[in-house]
Amino acid sequence: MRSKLKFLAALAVGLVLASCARPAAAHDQSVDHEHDMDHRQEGANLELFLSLQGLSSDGPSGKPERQEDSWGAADLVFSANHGRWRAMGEYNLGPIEHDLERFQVGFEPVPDTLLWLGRFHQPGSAWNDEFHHGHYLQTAITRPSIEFWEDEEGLLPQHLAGALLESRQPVGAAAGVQLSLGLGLGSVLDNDGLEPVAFINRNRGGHQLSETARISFLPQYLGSSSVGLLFGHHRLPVVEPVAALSLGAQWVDQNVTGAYVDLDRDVWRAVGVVYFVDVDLQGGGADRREHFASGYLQLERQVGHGLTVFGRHENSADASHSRFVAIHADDFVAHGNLVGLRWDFARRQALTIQLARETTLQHTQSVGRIQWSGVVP
Amino acid sequence: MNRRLFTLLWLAFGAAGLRSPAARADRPENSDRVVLIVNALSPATMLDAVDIKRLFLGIPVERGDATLHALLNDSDERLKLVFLQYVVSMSEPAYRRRLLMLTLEQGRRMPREYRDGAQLLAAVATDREAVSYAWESAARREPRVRVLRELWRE
Repeated sequence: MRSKLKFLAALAVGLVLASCARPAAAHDQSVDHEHDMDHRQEGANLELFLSLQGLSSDGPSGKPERQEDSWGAADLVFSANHGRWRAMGEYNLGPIEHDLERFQVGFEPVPDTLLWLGRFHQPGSAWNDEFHHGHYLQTAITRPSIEFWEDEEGLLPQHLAGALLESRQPVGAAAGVQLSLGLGLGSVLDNDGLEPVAFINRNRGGHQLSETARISFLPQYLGSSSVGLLFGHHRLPVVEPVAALSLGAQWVDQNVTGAYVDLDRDVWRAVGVVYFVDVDLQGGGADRREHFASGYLQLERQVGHGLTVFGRHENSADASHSRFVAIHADDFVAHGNLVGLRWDFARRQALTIQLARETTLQHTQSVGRIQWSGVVP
Repeated sequence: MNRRLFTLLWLAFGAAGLRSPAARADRPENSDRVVLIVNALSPATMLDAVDIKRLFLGIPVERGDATLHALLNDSDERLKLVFLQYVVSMSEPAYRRRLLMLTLEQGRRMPREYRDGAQLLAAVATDREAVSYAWESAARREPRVRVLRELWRE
């Protein structure tokens, strides 16, 4: 009850802030244009992503442990521009947790090349680097299991604190390449799983350097389709004795290699990824090496009247043989399928229903969800 | 027969009469063009299709010491359709989503949107770095606005 009240209070503050912000899309016809002329490259954006959800499952019942399973979420994205300088942040709050997910200060030395410092989403994730925390932008209600955030039994570090370089350059007449490099302090492992560097909450310390990268080919330089390779290397210290004992390691050295496609053509969209993950469990006597793979393919088709049908298949190999997966993500979806229908019924608002059948390391379950998502203003 | 002819004539004239004077005033002239417009003092002399698309995705384009930025003309449904089809080549939901994504990824400011054509022209007329689009007939009436190129012709 208390968490609900806190969530609602924070939501109200977010709504007030969003409505007070000078929106980029000005519908106020009394805009002072002379003022705009002087400050055209300066200003702030504030977008509040909201979602409400109901779910039903035939799996083990209990209190939701993941933000994604909670009844509501709010994600406040704020950004400011001053010439070539940028600052942006993302504050996510819900009944289960709230945190400053991103806070970055950036400089654009040449057009389409940005250097950021701060806490950011690592570019080696095909899904999270695209959709971030707000639910409205992703067609499906849930993200694939391998893309879960650290505090949702995620297996791969998703937040780094350090430097991020993003560059997009044209190639030939219409195509382009994009390179993103992220270097920063990654996560530590405790009894609850991965714990990234926090900017607001308490830090455990001991975070080590992670290196991540994405290189993409863009068939259309200014289009939304891309194909590419993903890389990540993470040194994860195990900071709690119980976690070290169950894992049989003081350190986890994780290497991630992946490939993805994100193709957007007319009414069709396909997002597919495969990750190969090497896990070295070190410092627990006998070192142990594990490998597993995980991937998904999501297909979407717009069918008119604001409706989009979608389906997704998730699968994995050797995840059930991994001690790292078994200990830190017993809800990891080894394989699963889902179908759904999204209805964009008003400006920046959507209703989505989704039915999933998924097999985790523990059990097989069917889950039905219905969600409203939207963006304010 | 006469009665049927009378009914048809009544319907035709009635339909024409239903259009408000304001709607008729906003309507583009016959064989009008959609044109790209800038401030009369703008440093931009030429913008190709890629530069125009960049601008309307919220990505600034530099010309000399000026950083151009786009203003969206949302004053006319037909104009909006031409813009979506011939400038950004996206459906409206896809375009809105793309703008949101660029804001989420790069903290870019979205192009400002105007629902009143006169206010849009006034904004371009007072902003040396603004780029927008309008019906040529309307743009020609504002001397502080310069037509840069044609985007679409009827």
